[in-house]
Amino acid sequence: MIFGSPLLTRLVSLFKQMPGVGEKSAQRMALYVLRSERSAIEELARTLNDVKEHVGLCEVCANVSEAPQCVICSDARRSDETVCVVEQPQDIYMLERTGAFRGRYLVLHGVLSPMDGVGPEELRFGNLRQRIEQGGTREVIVATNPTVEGEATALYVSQLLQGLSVRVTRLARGLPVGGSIEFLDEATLGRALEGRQDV
Amino acid sequence: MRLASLRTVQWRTIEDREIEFSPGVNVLVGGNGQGKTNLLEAVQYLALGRSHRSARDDEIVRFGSGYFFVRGDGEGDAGQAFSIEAGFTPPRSKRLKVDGRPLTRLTDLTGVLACVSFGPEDTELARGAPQLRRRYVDYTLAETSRASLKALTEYRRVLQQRGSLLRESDNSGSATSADLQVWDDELVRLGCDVVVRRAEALLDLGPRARTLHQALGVGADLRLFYVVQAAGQRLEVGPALQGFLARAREGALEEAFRARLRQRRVAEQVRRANLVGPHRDDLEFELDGRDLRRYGSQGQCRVAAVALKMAQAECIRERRQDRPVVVLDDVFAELDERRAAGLWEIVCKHHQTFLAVPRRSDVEFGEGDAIFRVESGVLTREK
Repeated sequence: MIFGSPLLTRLVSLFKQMPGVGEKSAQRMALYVLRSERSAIEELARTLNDVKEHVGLCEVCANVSEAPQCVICSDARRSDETVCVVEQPQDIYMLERTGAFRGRYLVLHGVLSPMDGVGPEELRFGNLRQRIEQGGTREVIVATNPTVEGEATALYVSQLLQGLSVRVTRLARGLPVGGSIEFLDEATLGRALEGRQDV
Repeated sequence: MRLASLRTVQWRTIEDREIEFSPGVNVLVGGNGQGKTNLLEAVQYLALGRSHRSARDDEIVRFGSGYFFVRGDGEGDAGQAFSIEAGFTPPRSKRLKVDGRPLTRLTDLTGVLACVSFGPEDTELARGAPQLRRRYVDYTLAETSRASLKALTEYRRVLQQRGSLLRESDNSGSATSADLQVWDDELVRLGCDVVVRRAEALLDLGPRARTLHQALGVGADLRLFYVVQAAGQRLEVGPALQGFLARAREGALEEAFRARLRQRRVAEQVRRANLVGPHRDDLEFELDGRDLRRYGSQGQCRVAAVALKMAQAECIRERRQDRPVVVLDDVFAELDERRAAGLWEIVCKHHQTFLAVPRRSDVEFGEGDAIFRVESGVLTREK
């Protein structure tokens, strides 16, 4: 038992369950709790509870939301013509930061991976087909990661939408902006060559 | 490239110390069980990040001690220095560093120290399990191109995923064709890529192996065949394979692959395994028109295997513009004098070579070569 306190040890083990937190970080966090003002910790505890209580998933796109529909789905200024399919809610955050996309989203909360027991039923496709048909969507952009699983998921999406008059596209792969060819790995450069465009 | 020095700590039976190597041939002379192979293994460990003979790191740790560490320093042909460190503490804490920086993935080590080896186990290359021959081609690919390495890793990944799906079928009915379809598409896409890359590598390896074999052997003609399982074809490495490659690029391979998948669908579901794809490819060899596996003598298989391995060295050298290090464990044992001389001429003169032999009389030495006597794990430089 570390620190000679069963309670603190328990706190460390709870922190360790969080993603990206190892033993050392968990210890640091636990000691931070110990040293902080009571009011700060009370606020932390309250916020944790509130988040669990009030934050859920958007009924349309499965993005995180405090209302039945998320801020993006309920934003009338955004276009229904394009829907972007992403793996995780944080991917939305990254895409929004680009400011280049004004359509809607669908968050799958994962990718197809039979090894981890994840099939189509485990992903949040919702009623995508119906949504596309009724919403007048013209293009679905699949923005899953360029991994084997991400590609398989993209194929699944295009299969799911077969027969609808909707264009299914995939994010391009290649040169990073501001990057230098000199420092690029061969695999990425190879993909960039394959996906070259007219000047 | 060359390995200038090697430091081992608690590495099997080898005495803890730093050894400096010659850029030419390094001969390790010693009786059976004195530690020659253990030392060669350390050199190969730096290249592969794992042992070429046992997959288990805890077996390498010297009996009765807690960990091992090995470090190699060297430089490429263009003079660029590199260092590789590997440490292991049982049960499973392993650390690899290149130029002092820790590696997160084993694949990042690939190519830092390019190494081509020939040991007793490689005699099996010509007539052992098909897996050995696939590994031979794939190693050539991985050492010469990052993109190929990635293609191979991705293909392995899709096999695992698809295999998982096929195996799942025993709990919840059989994996349906609809479930399998996206994985089929991935299997075909990545599988075709692997076949094309292998074919390209073989078109480079084949002619070299043939020439080397002629120089090593008594003029017998070595011919290679690539058996592409997904296409159900056996192609001689030469114009036939070139034609296949051209058609594959136009989609013929994909079509054949898909047809075969459809045909084997039920069998895959019954046996719950991936039955179609480049993971079931093979190579075949003919010596003067006769199947080497079936009719070849021990010596003939060995010479063919040596030629193939040395073709690999040339191939890596040419594509990377850097000569790989060559490790030869007791390779002269079954070669007659003429072939041994041939090997010496072709290989040892052009690469930094690590060579283990039981007797000093087994080799002729040149200027600048180093000779080490190995006795009970202790190395003494004699020349």
